[in-house]
Amino acid sequence: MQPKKLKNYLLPLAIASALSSTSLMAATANYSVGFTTVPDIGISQVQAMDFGSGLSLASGVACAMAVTSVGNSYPGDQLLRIAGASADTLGSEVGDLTGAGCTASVGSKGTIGIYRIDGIAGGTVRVTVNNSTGNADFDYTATGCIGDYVAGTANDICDPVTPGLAVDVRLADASDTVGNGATEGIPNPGQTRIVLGGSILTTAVHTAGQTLTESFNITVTY
Amino acid sequence: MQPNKTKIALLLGAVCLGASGAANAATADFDITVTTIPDVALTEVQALDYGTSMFVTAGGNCLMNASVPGNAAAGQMQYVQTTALIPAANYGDLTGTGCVNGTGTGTPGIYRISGIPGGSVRITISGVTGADFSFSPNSGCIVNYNGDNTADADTCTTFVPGVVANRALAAAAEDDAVPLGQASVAGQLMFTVGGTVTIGGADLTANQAYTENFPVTVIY
Repeated sequence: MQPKKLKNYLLPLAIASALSSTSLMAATANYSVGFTTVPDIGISQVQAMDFGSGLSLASGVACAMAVTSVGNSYPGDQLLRIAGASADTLGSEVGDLTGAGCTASVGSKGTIGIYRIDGIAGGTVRVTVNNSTGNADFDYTATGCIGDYVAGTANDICDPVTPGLAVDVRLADASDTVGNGATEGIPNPGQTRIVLGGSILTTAVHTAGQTLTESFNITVTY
Repeated sequence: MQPNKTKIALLLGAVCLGASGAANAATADFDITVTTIPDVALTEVQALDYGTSMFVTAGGNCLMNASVPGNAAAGQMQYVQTTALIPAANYGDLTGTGCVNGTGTGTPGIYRISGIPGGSVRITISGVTGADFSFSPNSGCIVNYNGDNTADADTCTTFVPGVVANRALAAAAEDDAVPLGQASVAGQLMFTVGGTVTIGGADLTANQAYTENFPVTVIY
């Protein structure tokens, strides 16, 4: 009867082996988690600001160039490349020069400054436009606005600039390019624009026919 | 010529002896068959990706929400409730000081466990601390089957990073008929992972890809 005993032993052994192996069965995997850091912020000049020809030679006189976030001195949605709730066109008074310092240029128009910010599409950036003071020839006080996109709808606005104070604006993304009307701007994903005028105040007596240049600062961070 | 009686007797005796020998003992081998349970396996369905979103500053953090993935997308979460659930509005959202906060800008990871239908598994999803950033899978869920196909009461419930979560793989009869959601597949179990990325002690480089690996362990 040996064969029969052999069979009786083998079956429990096989079952025991199967049961013990179940507790050891495991799978381990390593899965990736990743990201790409945002690109550096870029800021570039689209159009240099120019108060024209005709500044007074006197010291301590001011000349203002009109740029505002709304109204007749608003540069318009197309220039800003935004789509507001309504079609906001180029204002008739944009760039108008006024003030005692604009001796020969009052009543004419200067060239407003236009600047472009590049960053991550849809990201929010913090923009600070600073005045320029303590200069040899003239000081500068900024006015203007910064394009601020609302994703997916035509409610973009131009946030007014307050010199020295940070303004958070959202850069355009692909959703901002859809459905904008013909009189509205065409956004570029990852970009927005700043438009600036303001006023200059002479700080010295100047000579005729002289080209004067000072610099001012715009700071943009994520 | 008379037959030799002695020879006949010997011949008969030999024949009888041979016949009785065959009846006294027999030996044979027979097969015994048993099949072990199939290997438990892990598969990546969708990689976890924060996109082009992270700032570079050391210490910044970013949470990707992966709590409510829904069950409507084919080949993804594979569970059934009384209604088909679209992903929650904040599924994939990124929030925190270290990233561009946005709606659905992140891609939660989706993974599949495969094994024996109805089998219990213990799942551990852990974080990782790398040279450039650390990751904690503190958002996400693992499907929790209710064990039958009548109540449509499967759920997707949270897990704790680094802590074992007990679940059962979908049984053969688990919600595979007319799903309000995506039908389960016998022997499979899905989970989704988001969580928090924290940039390490050094600033990162702008416009550069970074990757670490986090471990997932599944045991029967």
